[in-house]
Amino acid sequence: MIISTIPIKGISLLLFTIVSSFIVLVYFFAWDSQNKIDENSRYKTSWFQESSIFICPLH
Amino acid sequence: MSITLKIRQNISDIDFKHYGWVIVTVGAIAQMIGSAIRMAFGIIIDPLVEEFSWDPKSIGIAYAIMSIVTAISSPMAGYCSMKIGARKTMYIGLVLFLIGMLWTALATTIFEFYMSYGVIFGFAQSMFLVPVIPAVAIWFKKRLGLATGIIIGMWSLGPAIVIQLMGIMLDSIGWQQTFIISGIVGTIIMVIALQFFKNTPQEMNLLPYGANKKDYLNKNYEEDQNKYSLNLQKIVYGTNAFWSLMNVHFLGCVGHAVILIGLVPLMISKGISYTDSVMCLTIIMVVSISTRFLTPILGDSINPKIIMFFSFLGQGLFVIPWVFTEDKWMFYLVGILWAIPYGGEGTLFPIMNRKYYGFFPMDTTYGWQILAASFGMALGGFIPGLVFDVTGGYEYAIWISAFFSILGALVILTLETTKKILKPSFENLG
Repeated sequence: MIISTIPIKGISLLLFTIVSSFIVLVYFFAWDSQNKIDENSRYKTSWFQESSIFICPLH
Repeated sequence: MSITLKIRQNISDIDFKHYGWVIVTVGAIAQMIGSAIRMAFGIIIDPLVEEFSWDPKSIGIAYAIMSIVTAISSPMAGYCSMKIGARKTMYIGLVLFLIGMLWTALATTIFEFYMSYGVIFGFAQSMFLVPVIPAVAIWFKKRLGLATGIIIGMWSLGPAIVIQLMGIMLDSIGWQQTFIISGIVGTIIMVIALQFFKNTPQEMNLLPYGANKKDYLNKNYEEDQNKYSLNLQKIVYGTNAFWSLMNVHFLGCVGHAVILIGLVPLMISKGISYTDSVMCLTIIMVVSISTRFLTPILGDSINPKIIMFFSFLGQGLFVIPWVFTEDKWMFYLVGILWAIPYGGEGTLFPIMNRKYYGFFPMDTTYGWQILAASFGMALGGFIPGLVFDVTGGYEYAIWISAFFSILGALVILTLETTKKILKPSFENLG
């Protein structure tokens, strides 16, 4: 029997997936928000759009 | 011996008189009715818009609520099934199903619709569907692949039949009557079917299919089950396989949900007609039925980890040609190729659970895997629309689908071998 108290490998890989999914979402949300701001300078961004642009290093 | 002869020999060895096959039939009926809840959504959008002038986007929120409630309540449904038994849990699901169907038919405000379709159906779906596979697993020590293959095959076939019937009813008697009649008829069918359902073989003084009589002498397995199942579940949480299988289920579901939601719009954006695009999706559904049925059987007899790896890899790689092609026939051809790994991708989890944890009630473990899968479906369903808003096309969504499926294949490579049991099962508790 293989017994390990903390399944580090499994939990780390799951966290990697969660972070990857988060990165994909933030990147596209930031891109979308940036497009809307570029098209209309008076566009009012929501807190969610502002946060995505703030978090994403590419936008 | 030729392969055909081996298959014939294999089939002739199956004891179809064992009561386990009755459990499989009840499970298949439950899958059919339960999955109709999700599939019925598409056909009621237009009638709701017409009758109440609700915005389709607001109606779509009910579907999102249902998916999230199903996801969050799945581990609870698994725990419930382990504590009070699959039969009682399915009865709770059935009561919620009936309330949901009647309330949806009578709903007049969008809030009521969110509560009836989103919250009540969300709970009904998990209570109804999560216990089925683990219950079947406890009835089959051998041939679990065939038993689960039949039930998982119904995921595709069941909704196809139910949706046609509901479509015909909708045209002739309206959506409200359709929901009321379907709810009542579905409940009656399930109440009758559940009379034949038994939680464990011990309830009928039987052995699980393929179990050796000697192993069961002088052992009270039901008592063992109550005594050990919850403690064993804690040990399961301590394995890498538990977390990785959840991870893999999530990744696989994102991978195919993107395609199932985004393929038709992608084809239309490339100048292919709506009818031809829907035809491609239909071909995928039909081809995938065969692998949904066959993959658990193969996985049970060969090596589920290898088959799962190639299914994920195929699901990831075969979508890539869709980015470059504009030809209808090429879409169809790739669709057929993609449907083979797609059909097999999600069907091996009960087999993997059995290989890793032995003959052990997998209700809660399976509930967690369904939670991951539901979140994956929700994320995957959301991505094509978001990508289209940003880029004006769906090509990036296809790359994202490939990325998630291939990442799933890589995570599978990190799993332990399925050749030995990781944790104690009921066999070595006696």
